[in-house]
Amino acid sequence: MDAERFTQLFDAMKREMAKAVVGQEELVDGVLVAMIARGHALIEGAPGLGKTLVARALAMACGCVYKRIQFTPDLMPSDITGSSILDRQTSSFTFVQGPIFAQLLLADEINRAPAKTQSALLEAMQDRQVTVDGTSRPLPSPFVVVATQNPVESQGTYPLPEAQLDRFLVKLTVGDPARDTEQTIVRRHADGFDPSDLSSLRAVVAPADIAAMQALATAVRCDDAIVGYIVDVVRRTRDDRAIELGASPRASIALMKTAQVVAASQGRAFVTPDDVKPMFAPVLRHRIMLHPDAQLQGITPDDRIGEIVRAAPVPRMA
Amino acid sequence: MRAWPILAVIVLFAADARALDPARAETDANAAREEAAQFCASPKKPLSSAARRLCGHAKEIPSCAAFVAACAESEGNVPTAPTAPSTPPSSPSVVTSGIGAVAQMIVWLIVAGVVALVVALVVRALLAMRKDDKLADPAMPKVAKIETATPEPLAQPSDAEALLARADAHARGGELDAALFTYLAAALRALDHRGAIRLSRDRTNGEYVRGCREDAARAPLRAIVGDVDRAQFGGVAADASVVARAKDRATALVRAVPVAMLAVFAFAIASLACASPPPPPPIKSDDPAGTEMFVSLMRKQGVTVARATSSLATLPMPKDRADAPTVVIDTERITLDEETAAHLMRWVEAGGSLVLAGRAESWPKELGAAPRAAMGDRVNVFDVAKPQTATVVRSAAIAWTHTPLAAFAGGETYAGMRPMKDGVVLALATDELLTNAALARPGNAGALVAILEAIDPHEITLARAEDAIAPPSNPISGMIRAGLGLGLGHGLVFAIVLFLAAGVRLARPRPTPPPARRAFAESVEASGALYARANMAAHALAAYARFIEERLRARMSRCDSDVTAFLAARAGADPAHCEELWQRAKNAREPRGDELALLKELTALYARAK
Repeated sequence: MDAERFTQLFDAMKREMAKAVVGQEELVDGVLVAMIARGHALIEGAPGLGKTLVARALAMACGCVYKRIQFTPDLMPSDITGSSILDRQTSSFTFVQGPIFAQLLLADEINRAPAKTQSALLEAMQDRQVTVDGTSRPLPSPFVVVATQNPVESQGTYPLPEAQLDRFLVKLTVGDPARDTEQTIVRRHADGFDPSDLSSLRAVVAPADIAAMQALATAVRCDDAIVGYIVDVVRRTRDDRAIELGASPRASIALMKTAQVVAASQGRAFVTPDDVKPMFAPVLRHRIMLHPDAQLQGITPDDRIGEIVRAAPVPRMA
Repeated sequence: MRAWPILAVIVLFAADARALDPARAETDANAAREEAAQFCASPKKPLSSAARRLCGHAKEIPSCAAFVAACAESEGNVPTAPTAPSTPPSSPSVVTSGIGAVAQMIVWLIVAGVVALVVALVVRALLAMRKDDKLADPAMPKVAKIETATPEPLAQPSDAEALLARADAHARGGELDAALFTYLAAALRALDHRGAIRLSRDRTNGEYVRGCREDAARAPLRAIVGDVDRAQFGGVAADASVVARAKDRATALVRAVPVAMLAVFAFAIASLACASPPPPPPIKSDDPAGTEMFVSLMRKQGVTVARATSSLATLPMPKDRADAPTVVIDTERITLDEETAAHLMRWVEAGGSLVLAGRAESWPKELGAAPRAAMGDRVNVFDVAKPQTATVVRSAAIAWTHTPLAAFAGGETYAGMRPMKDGVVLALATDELLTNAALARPGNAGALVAILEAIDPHEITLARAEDAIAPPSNPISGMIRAGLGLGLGHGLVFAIVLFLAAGVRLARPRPTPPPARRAFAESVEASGALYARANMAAHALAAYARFIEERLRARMSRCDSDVTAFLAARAGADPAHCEELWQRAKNAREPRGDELALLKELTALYARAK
């Protein structure tokens, strides 16, 4: 696969998803970048903004095996990973795969399950395997978790622990659509669009294509100046007075990977600061912990990240 | 025979062109009087002293009955010298003298007290300085070394053209990458200068392209940025063709003038070209001593007349006499300061023409003129073609050793001229011939024009009173000139005394004070937020309730024991609601989800109760 083919496939997936998702270009781009960068995406937004629809449209467009788990307070880890059950005929235990054995897993409302259940995803997301009864079972490739959560509700929810959050390559926030966009959405529903039926969408890429795109993205050149820029910004999050816990080196790596995908999607074989800059907020916003004083003042992680990025000089020749 | 050398000088100075024409001066003066006849029809009353001095012309001016009446009226109301009081002022009584002595003594006591206070402050400050020196650790450096983070230098080239030249130098030297980057810098600098982009160190090249306000510049800028990014981040070294392309694009961006600016400029030029000059303002004057008729007369004679636009002390030195305007100064109304007078003399020597009308004692000393008494009221002007005679009401002459232009019958010089190197000074014994009343009198306009013909002015600058004052060279001299010198001196002394008394000690370096401790209430709020993040909202609410209870109990009297009743009374809230809120807050153990709302409500109540 070459850069031109990469761009064609990337654009084809965007176009196909756009048949179901109106607006939300940033969200669609973020999910695609996370998938090709071999990462996972956490989507946060109020109900009714199309989070689940984006994940389902992505599954349809990329032709991956898609499973959905509705996280509930009584969900158990074995409900996700699967478990060994007794086969009466053979009098032996047989492993029954859980829904996690899919290429695209939608973890809907992930913060409604307790931490014990959420932790069942840790190994799968990090090592792409599941260990049950002492046996490790690899997950299919590609394996992408797209999780959603609602930031408004606090009753009966369990905030994701930092270790779990760090497993997500990007955290994408969904805002209210513009008036024209909302009007278009309503008009499409009036014309008969059914969001539960996405059969009109077709797979424009195959899982093998995605693997090839992932391989090509990792070969995109990242100059030392770009790496220095990334590290500079990430280190500034650790020195910022409004941030109690800054981003880890894993965040730097995530930034580099996402920037490589963005550069490849532009048809370039090298990363520029323009590829890195838009990824700072999605990659860092869930990896920093604000100081309580800053929280009291109403400062958000995006505010601080914006300030830090504005203070960091972009690499250029003097 | 005496007039021949005079005429030779006049001819020498006025040989080039004769714009002024004494023959038609009377016609022009009549026309000017028609325009500025307000002083004849309805003169400003009461007449000023300058106007009263011109009353001798009133009866000789045709159709000027109102001016005549005003003069007659003013003659009847001439203020007389105050008569001496019939009774001598009473001598101060003993009581008044005693009060005066007491007041004087009080003033001196106050002055002595102020001086003693100042001395005490100074001595106290000096003692404190010595004490500080003794207490100071000799090992400690006097000045704390403060390490400040130096900002990273931001590449801010001074000029896009200079950057282009530097890029060319790089290209010639074979430093192609450096040349490429410098071409981009030049283009960005030019666009920033034109306001199309805003340079900032946190902006990427792509953001410059997307944010460029000049549509035509976006494509070439994008091309340069692509080449630069490829060389800088793509590891592809720039070759000569890439640099040549970048040079062409950068040069076009740097030297291009936006089409819109050109259009606006062309429109402005066209507007200026098509616009007709504004008509001169109508000349109206109700002051017989005004100079409006002089201005009108000169304009009708083809001379450009304008007011001075800046101080006479800053007149630019003329290159030759033909280019310099003729400056007319009425020294009876305008007092020249020394600096202005000196500058005017240098200006005349460089080729300027100066007309001085008025008291000779206020003229620059270099002219060597002095006032002189004269007899009669007829002034004869030495004119080659047609002798002119002016009639004046003030018989004043000047002692003039240079070329005379007009004289009384007794030979006393009324007007004279003195060449000074490349320029010339024309002097008039009084400013009478410049006034409306004198010029309206038949015969005077022709005489004045004949006098002025000697220097043949083509452009006259009429000075005002404020033009004769040289601008101050610095703020201090300006304040001194405004009469604030004494106050300035007092302020300076006061500042020195204040510095000696307190400033010396305050200005000494001090160790950095320790950071202020966070307020207790803020600490409680921060702890509450921390509890909330750890799902300990109920605990935070209970802690806050205990904090409020502690504060309220400190304010309650000994006979009070009910905190909620006290809170409700002070906050003006419902006691039952307060009780419910208070019990809920104090007994909060398990989270119910409404802890933040309760805490806010409790905070509002406590704020009202404070």
